[in-house]
Amino acid sequence: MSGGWKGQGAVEGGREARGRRYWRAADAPPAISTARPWREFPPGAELPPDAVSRREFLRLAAAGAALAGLGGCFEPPRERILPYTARPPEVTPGVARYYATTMTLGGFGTGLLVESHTGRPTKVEGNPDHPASLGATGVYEQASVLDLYDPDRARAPRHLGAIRPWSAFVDAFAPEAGAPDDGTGLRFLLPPTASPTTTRLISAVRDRLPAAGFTFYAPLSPTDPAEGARLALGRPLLAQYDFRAADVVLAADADFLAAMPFALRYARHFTDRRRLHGPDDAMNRLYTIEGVFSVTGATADHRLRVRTAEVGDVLAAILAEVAAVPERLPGGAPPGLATALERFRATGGRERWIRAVARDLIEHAGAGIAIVGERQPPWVHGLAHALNALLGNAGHTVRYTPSPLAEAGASSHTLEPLVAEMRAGRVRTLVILGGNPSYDAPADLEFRRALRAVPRTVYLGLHENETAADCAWFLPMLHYLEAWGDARAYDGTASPIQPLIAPLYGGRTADEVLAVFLGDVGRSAHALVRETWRAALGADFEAAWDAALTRGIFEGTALPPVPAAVQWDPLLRDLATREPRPPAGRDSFEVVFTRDARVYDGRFANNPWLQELPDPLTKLTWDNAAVLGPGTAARLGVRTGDLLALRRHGRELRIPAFILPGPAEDSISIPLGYGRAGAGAVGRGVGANAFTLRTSEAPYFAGDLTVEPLAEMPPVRLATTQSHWSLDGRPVALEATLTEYRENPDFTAEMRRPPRSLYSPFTYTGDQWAMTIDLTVCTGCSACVIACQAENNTPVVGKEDVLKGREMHWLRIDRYFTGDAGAPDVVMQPMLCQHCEKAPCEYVCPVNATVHSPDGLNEMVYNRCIGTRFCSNNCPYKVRRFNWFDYNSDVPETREMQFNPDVTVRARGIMEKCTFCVQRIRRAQIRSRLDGRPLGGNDVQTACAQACPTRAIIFGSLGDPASEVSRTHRLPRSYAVLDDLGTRPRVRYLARIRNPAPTLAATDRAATSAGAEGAGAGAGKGGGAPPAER
Amino acid sequence: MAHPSPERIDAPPVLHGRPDDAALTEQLLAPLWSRSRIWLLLFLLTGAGTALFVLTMTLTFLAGIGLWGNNIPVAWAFAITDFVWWIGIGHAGTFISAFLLLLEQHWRASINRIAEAMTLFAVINAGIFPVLHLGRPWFAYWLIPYPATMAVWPQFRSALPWDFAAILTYFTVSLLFWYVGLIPDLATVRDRAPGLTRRRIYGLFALGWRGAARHWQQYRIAYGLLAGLATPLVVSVHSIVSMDFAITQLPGWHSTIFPPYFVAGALYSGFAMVLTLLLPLRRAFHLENVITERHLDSIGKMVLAMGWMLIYSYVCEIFIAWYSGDLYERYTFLFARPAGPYARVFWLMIACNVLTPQALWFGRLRRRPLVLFLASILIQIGMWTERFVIIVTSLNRDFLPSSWHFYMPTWVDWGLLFGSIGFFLLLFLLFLRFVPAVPIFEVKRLRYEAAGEV
Repeated sequence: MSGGWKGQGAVEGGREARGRRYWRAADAPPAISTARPWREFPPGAELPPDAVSRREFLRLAAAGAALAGLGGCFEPPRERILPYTARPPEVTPGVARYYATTMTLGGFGTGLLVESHTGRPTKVEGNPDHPASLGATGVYEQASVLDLYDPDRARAPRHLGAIRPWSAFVDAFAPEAGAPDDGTGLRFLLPPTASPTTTRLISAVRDRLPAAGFTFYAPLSPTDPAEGARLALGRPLLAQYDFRAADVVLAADADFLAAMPFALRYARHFTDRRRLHGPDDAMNRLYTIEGVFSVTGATADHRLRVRTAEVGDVLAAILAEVAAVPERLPGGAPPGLATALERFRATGGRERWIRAVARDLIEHAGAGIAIVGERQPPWVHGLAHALNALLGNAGHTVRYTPSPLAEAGASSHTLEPLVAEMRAGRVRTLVILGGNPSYDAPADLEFRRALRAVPRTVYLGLHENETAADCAWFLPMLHYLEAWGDARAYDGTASPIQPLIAPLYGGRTADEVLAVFLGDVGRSAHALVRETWRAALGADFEAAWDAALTRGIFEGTALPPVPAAVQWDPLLRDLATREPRPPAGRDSFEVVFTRDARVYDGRFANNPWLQELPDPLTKLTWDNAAVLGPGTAARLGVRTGDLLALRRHGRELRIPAFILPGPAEDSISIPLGYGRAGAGAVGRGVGANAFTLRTSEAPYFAGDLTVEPLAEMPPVRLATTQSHWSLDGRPVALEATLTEYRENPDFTAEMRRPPRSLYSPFTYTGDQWAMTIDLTVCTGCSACVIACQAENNTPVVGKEDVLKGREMHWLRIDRYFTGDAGAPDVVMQPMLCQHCEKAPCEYVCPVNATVHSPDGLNEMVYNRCIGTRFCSNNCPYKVRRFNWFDYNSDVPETREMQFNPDVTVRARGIMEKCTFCVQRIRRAQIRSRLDGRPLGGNDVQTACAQACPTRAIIFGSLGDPASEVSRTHRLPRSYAVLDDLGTRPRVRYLARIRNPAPTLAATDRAATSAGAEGAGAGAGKGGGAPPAER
Repeated sequence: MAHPSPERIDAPPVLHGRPDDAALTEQLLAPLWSRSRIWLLLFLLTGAGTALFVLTMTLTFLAGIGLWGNNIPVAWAFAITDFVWWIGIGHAGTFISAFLLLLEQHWRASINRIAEAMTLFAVINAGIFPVLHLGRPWFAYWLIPYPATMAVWPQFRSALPWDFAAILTYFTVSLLFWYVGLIPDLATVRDRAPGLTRRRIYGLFALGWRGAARHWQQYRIAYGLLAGLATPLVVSVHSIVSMDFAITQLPGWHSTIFPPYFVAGALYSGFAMVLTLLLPLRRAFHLENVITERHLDSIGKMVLAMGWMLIYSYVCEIFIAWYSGDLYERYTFLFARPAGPYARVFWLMIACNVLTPQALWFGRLRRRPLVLFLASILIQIGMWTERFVIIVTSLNRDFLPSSWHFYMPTWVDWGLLFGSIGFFLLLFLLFLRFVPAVPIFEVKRLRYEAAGEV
């Protein structure tokens, strides 16, 4: 689509005949006046109407009517208006358009395509051209669109609580740019950023005001990886992993499938090596060493449970094993390494495991990856760099680039010096650009008290939160869907952030605030970003700019790998100081502060979708809890929900216990991001604030926690969506090892026994929609769950109704534990309407409200449903959802703007369930009819399939024998759940194949999974029960 | 009926003493004229229960089913339990009136009207619950096969339209049967009522009955025909109700024994309810002469017989679940019910339904009102828990362990249950106050039969 348009730039999607056409840039005139700064959109495409200027808006807001601002968005102007007879050419009501933009999390950008309906962004998809997305999205990206419409977002700049115009802020702070003292006492605090424009402005401020200081802080962006690289490689480089080339992966406390930068890409590439088309295909093998039970650990072929602090010891032992056989390594091993690590080699009972991993890594030298989690200390990162170097992985599966983060590896990434300055009264002006340090700074720094010592404080934030309450000036920040900007991905690829909608409440970006300190008060974010790229994009700037907006990336901006060699001497010196940890004392526990799979560091606490999303492993919603293993719980004598008092260094946190099989014993992990006093109506007071225990000397884990069960306190009711965790011997989620699969590729045959019928089979013709779900590659990350919710206007029900078992998710992920309760295996099984050909729900409905479509969908006729719920009773999969209340009646007006106009918003008292995204099917059918070409079997994607980072969900038509879904339905390891009931589901599962190491498989695995695996290859595991006889 | 039915020598008589017609009429009409404080107290009490019923119904209509404890997977719970319980209770009346009439069991004469009234009120309650339990109750009429402009018919493969029709039919026939049986006595009330207004009202409902031979002849024919019509309904209604469960493939519901099992259970609870109502009534209005130990004995035997049919069904269900070898059936019957989360409810059901009736093997116990009353209460509780066990324990743990979820009723659920009991008793109190509870003309006839004069 490059160069196809200029200026007006509007090409209607339906008419454009060539190439991909699903997103394009909005037009943006280069000159932006300050009076009406947000005119980059065509008329009619955005809300609020142009008649409401910022000044008008502020006046209304100042009048004190809480909803006046919002109401003002929808009021027609008082003057006489006329409807347009010619609609803007680029807007067709009912036809969605896609725009490329970028969401930034943890400093790194992920490229997105955002669906827009008549100017409202409604749904986020991944940008296939962006390296961090590859077309997929995670839960945060999917849910971010709801944050845009958060009614609790800040709406106006304030000074000491009073609403002030932006110009008042400018007047107060623009003189700083020309201050004679070079910015002495001026400090900026912002989360780590890789944005080229922000980076440019930071350097510009530093140039202009040399005495000004910048500090980068985010609670989940540790400096340990950079320090580890500095230790081992001499420079704070970033490791770039290529999982496509890795046969063996060793993840040391690294949740690279879900919770690291680039996780979407890693998940995709990692699972590409596990996608079995037949028994002869090869498969990679994943070992994990971890204390917290992570999504990656649940996917692993072998998972070693050790406390988080001992992960380094195990990794050192593996490195020692590898170094002990220099003759088998591509480049040998440096002298002294084996001896330096000798004392790590005998670590209580793990030798067998360690030796097997080392052997496997050596056998796959050059095709392995050792990856360490960000929260591990630098020396553990150093071990991984050493291991990758010894094995020859560096240069093949691991490459090194400089970090795209601004001032990466510099001392400006630690918070302590700034706080010390603040306490000492050396900070005159503190400008906080995003983040929420009053909430998430380490507790021992007492950031709030330090903040009070600063005379002039400014906070730019999406919400008037904890930090806003502590600062004199508050400026509302723009959400990324309404802002201009740019970002860099983990590999350095730059991508634009372009707005989908005019700002709902007004606001600024960090770039615009920084520009004020350059005296550049009139520049919009749009102009600032363009200025950054004007030089970089060369002569034909406009064309290149347009191309970047269209594709969503700036071509060729990935950082090139740099040669990096391990500096053995400093590393060996450091290792010489390390001692293996002794076993934990009886009275102290390890505490691990984890990134929450739902609210991240608390920034998404006001997002109801995320609050109600079940955690991938605990299945907990609307709360956090101290997660501990069954052994630890038995030792403490607590049960799930019992309140614990956790104490560290005189600090105490009261939080309910949650017993999960699988974490290391004596290790307690607490997700961060809860207990927010300053969140909006949704997130306020949900859960317990683990930041109160977190100190700067041990921000991620510490071993000196004391735990006291508060037996006298009433237990907390924790809302989980799955109360039974075992398969009870039922053949529902099937699995086998790779060896078993190769010996008997048809091992699911037992499960393909639909009962004989008296009736002759029905002949299906034309498109027949179906789905395949590959349990081998499903990690349980839950992106599909949020994608489904966003696409299908699924309501949120709240904690009380989740406790009652009324969550409305059309797609849920069933998580079963098998084997030993201490170190269980996990299988994740996405469960949704199976679209049975002989659907049990259909014949029991008294009013024909659920019927079958000719193309194989089990349809819900909402208008006809009277809510007998008979269908749900007869659904063996229990995937139907009932509107117990009028859940949509109290959706805030702004959140209603997120609703997908193609999907009915359901009323009270009716059933609903997965529709296979029928609106997408029908849209594709209409399109194909208009285009006069047949619809291909792979041409429709459901929301869940589109979001899935690992492509575990495959959707398409069985009518096309060449379609991906037809092919996978024919695979021998495919099976239908409860096929023996005769429901003939259209969703088939591919049994999970594990790839245990041959040396470990025979004993260690079987020992922990009760021997169920060998006997029950065709029958699912758990409890060792025999397969069903039906 | 020219000959008195053969009586066992040792059986107590169906009528004590030889009161003359006037005295009998006087005695049986007395409740209609009396101003009893106890009645007023009970009326207020049951009125409060009715208010609770109305309140919880209104709340449910206004806010939705979410006020109840139901969830996915337990989409049906208290309301359907209450429905099946009430419709079961509603079975004994027609059985006593029609079935036993056709079988020429004359002892039924003194108690049939109470049983029929009970049936009627129970069916009213039973009819409320399925409508209330709809997500959108205002569309309940879509279950009726009427020629809608949308040209959509109900789905006849589902049990629910049939259920709807069966209940409606049963209610209609029960009402007619009760009313037709009432006509001669309404005429008696008309003739005896003090005050013109009452005479006019009773006269209106008496349909001009004068006791002519022709009237009696036509009455007998009509009553007999209605009895013939009602008798199959006793079997059909609860059979169809059982289909609501049996047509599904849910373990615990998917069972061919359900129709006879449900009918037996219905009669069991119905007879128990007859006892619950009859015994206090007999004592309060001194009806020992017309409702004798003979009646109590006969009902006791019926309860025992029905109890054993139920026990047979229980054993059969469990045996078949084991014998089928089906993993899920076995789990439901052999584990989930006796040892699962609702095991206490299951064992309460066993204690009430299986152990209680065994006391009725003994004739002396069968004739002791207190024993019978206690047994009847236990059986009511047992039969309610039986429906709860069938519905909730099957639903809360079905095929996929991931979807298993506990069900806990809310105060609205309890309010509807106790409110419906209050409403039922309120209707019954009104019945006692305005209509002769014991059929006067039939008792008189019994008297003549006993004397061998008929």
